[in-house]
Amino acid sequence: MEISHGKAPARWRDMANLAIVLAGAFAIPLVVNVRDGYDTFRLPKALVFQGEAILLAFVHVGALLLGARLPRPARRDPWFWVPFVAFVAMVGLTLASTKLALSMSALGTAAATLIVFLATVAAARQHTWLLVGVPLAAAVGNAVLVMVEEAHLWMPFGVKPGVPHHLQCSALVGNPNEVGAYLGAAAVGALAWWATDRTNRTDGTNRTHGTKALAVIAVLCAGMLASQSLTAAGAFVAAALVMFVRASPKQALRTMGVLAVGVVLVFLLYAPLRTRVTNMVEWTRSGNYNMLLTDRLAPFAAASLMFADHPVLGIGPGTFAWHYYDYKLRAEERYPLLRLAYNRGVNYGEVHNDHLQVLAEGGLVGYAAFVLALVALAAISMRSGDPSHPTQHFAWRLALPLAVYWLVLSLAQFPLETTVVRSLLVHFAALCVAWRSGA
Amino acid sequence: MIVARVAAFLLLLAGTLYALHRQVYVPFRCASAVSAGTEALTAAERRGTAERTRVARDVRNRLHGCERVPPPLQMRTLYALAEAATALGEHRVAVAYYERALAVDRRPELFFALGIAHLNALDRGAAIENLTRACAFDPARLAEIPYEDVRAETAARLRATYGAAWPN
Repeated sequence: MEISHGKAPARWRDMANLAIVLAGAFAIPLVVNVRDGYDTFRLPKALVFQGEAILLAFVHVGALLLGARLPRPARRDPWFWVPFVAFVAMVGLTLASTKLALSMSALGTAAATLIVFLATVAAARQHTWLLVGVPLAAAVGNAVLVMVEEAHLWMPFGVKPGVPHHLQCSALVGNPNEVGAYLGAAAVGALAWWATDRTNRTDGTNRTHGTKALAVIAVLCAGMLASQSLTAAGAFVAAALVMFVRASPKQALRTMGVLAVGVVLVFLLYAPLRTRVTNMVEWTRSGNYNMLLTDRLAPFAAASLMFADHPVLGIGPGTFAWHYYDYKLRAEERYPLLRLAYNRGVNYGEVHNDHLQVLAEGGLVGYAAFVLALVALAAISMRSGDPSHPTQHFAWRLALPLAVYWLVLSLAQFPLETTVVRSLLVHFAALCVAWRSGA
Repeated sequence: MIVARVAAFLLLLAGTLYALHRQVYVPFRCASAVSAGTEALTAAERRGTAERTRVARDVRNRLHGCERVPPPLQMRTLYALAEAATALGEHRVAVAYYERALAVDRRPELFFALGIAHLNALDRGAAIENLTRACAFDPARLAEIPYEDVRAETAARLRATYGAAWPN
């Protein structure tokens, strides 16, 4: 009876969809495999993400088989097409890849990302702040842990002799840079939550979460600073400025002032950051640009050469690491200074710059898809953000800063290839898409 | 109609369980097995041949069914299987595993290990070629070549290819 009506399967689908999306958002940043000493963090997160996508596909196809109706997509809505255009571009690039087997694996990851994105949009259309709170709770846990590790209070994975202490402070994320990137993304989301709550208070509507949101922002920012990831900190500051400039230029000036004083104080008082900045000034003066880029000039040069050789379609998604051997040697011949690099023998698996990596692996077509997705996300902030509608206002507050954060972070990191960072960015992007017209 | 739908649902359920097993559980299990196996093989190097052989067989058994996991774990799996083959004295098998690993990821340590495996399999030409590739990428590896004459020949090949000033 219920099967023919389709209401029970649809209800079951929606509940299961929400449960899986929330479980993924909470579990991915926390899951580790302590029995794998070589890859304790990245692989288990990638596997859980893949498992989440498989379960979501099962739930939706299963509900369809049991009689639930498919949601009617608004085909005139550009956001209906953006993810599919990006995915079709990915399929085309995979088919044109120089190493099809490796690109197929990257395509699998892209498919999983698309499924999780669409499922999160579907969940967010029916449920609201739970979808902000759950990923932030996982981020707060990681922020506290990285501070505990940096303070030498507890090292849950033991201490490896011969490895600098800071590099072992990875929380449950992976390495300090990934910790910074992940916590920075979470902090941008928390900032939008706080700003939304603050607007509601100004408008005399309900105010319930302001203090909580501020506490969460403080913990996440403290964790991000403890990770000493300058790129993440810079991307967060850029995103915060954009958020406040859009809301009120006056408020932005005040925020800039507070941020400037805060940044100077942090750099003066926190010795590891002070040392890093001093070293960077010294390397700039002496022209040691490779050290300034933390020894990443070789992958940058190799990726540029890959793009020059394959400007339209790139070498294929997921194939940078395989091609790095040849291109690194070519780069060293062209720029002999690279032979002096401290990490000359390191085989980089990623460029450590997603702009260059997307250009190398996907050429202009891949980069156009990447930019299209981020511009479409940013465009959500160009609509009017109705303050009386909290979720819509949240989307309006968050979309552009999130795109800015993603773009700046990609200058020296690889969020697209890091499951924990990508999944959080995609989660927030899905909330912006779902709530852009109010939920 | 309902029966057909339920049957299709059960088929989907079976497919989902298979996909979860293949895409999530097996890579998870294999990652743990590769890590433990590599550690065990390294530890067994200090013990006798009999112990090393036992550990290598154990690693091979544990990694049964792991060869088709997704990259980059696949590279680690094939590398561990090659190490196990080396420990068992099956140098040609080790060469085959290293070559398969190089199809997934081309790392200097893989070229180096392949070069040593070729040396063990008494194929000096292929050994010099792969050791040259390893050292071209990572000059520090030259000092790790265990035989003086092989090291000298590799260095000569590198200077002939990249100039007399190599490695600078």
